[in-house]
Amino acid sequence: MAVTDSGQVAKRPSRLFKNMAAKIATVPMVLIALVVFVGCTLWTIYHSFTRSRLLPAPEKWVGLDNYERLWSENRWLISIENLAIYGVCMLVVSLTVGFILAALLDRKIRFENTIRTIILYPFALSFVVTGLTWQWILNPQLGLQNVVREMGWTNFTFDPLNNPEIVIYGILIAGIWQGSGFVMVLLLAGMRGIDEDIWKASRVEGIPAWKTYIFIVIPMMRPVFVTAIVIIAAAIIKVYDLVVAQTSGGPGIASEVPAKYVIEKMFGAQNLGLGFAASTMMLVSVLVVLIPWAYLEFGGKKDG
Amino acid sequence: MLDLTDVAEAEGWRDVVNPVRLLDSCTLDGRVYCVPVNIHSPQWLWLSHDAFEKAGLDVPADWFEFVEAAPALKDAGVVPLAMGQQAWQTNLAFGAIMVAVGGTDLYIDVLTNKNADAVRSPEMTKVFEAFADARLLSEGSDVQDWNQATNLVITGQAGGQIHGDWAQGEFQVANQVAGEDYTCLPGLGVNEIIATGGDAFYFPATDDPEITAAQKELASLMISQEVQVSFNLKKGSLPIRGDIDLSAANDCMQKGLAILAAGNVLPDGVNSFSADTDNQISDLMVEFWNDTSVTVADAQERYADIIANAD
Repeated sequence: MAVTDSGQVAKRPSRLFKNMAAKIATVPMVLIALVVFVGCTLWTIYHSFTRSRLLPAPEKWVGLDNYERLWSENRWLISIENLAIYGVCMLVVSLTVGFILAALLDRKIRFENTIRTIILYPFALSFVVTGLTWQWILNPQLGLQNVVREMGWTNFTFDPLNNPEIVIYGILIAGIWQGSGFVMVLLLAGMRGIDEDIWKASRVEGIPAWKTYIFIVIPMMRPVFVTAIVIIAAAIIKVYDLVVAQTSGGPGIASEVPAKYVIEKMFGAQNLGLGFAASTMMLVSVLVVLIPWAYLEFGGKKDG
Repeated sequence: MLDLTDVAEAEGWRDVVNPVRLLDSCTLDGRVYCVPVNIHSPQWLWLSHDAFEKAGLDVPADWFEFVEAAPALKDAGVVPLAMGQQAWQTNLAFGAIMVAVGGTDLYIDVLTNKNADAVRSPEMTKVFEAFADARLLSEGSDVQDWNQATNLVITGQAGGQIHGDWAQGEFQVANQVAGEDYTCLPGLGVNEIIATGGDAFYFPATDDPEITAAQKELASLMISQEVQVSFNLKKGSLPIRGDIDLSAANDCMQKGLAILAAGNVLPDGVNSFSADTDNQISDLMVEFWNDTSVTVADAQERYADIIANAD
């Protein structure tokens, strides 16, 4: 791009002022990004090494004490484990379900708009409503278990929310119900962007539809998948209200998640330092995934 | 806030309020600014007569008899101990068991003096063992809120509940009679000592003499003997004065008043922990309660660790 402008030396300084209006317009956003995101992140990380209680106490440096306590607490370890289970399952299942639904809708069926709306509807509900609804559906006395038993299968047992071993899957069901409609819409939009000619060509070659989807459409939809994964991943990391509404972390501490830990330690226990340490660990875990990915995605292309 | 000193002195609040420290906490520089209306204490065991009848047993007189009666209750299809799943209820139960089984001295030594050695003592082991009994007895009580748990006791689906005296309000609404349909055991029947928290009413100061007069009349009404009895029976709490008409009070209120009259109360400000320490203890109790693989010794050691580092 620079080559086209490089004819005259006198024109060079004007590059900085080119599109002046646009550049001025972005300044507030850049500042907000720097101050709010980067600035506050650094502030949080710094304070995670201090003995901050109800109020930030930058002068009380305690080194890694907060981190030591964090990793010695069962509740934190369970939170991490739950997030890992929830995260992996949520990512895989909502992408798979979303893709299958999108592919089915993409087959030019009747009433597509209606069906699409119905499937997307759960996404319009907040996590609190979703959580409460599923708390009732999964309640053994009121919900699913009772309905199936009344239909005749009296031994049927499905009570995930009161079983510490599988409670996280009870939450997962609600999460998937809420999230896969949105994934479907994203992927459907991506599929609509695929050129009709590709379908014609694959039909001419006699390739079955499922093979076309897996080997041609999916690779072509890569940018849409990246968008979907980023959005799902962000929702996974910050999952909080769903758990609060559905189980409040119970039974016991079996369905605790990191975001809930952070909130409760910061405001319930009035221990900002520990809460910050926990949120810093959440940031680190995100970066561990993000940096190698960003390196592969953007680092490689610069040279090529 | 409106100064109520003239009403308080005219009616001699200082002489009738028992324990008098409730009035002290309303008093600033010798002036009275609020009306204490009730006393709340968490150390109560509520028992369903129905449930014990189903099991063919007499209603237990204390916690240990209750634990012994539990297998028979289970055989009769009754959940021995109702417990809401919320963390504060588990904590409340532990506090009640600690006062009852461990005794007041241990309770104060741990909560006020933060003595980790006291936590490692054999007395504390007994407390944790009783708490471990309780967690086994509550299996099958899958309710969330305390009043749902109380309802299990009212309907005889559960044998008992460790809960604050506000549970009494639920029994009252269900038209149950203390001593006939249900029994309450302050201090779990083991160590009859109760705490004396409570509520008080403040009145904002206004320029309107009519309103001020009405406020003072209301204050005087709130502390009157009749209102104290009827309000506290409905609310499920104890009256702040001992000189009431005992025939109007029910069985539970009489038990509570007898304890107050004998002065068997926990001192004020026993719990001196920071919110952080409270939260850690709460986490431990919730984990212990719900995960039977956490042993008594394990929980006791972790509790001692928390107390040793408490602030």
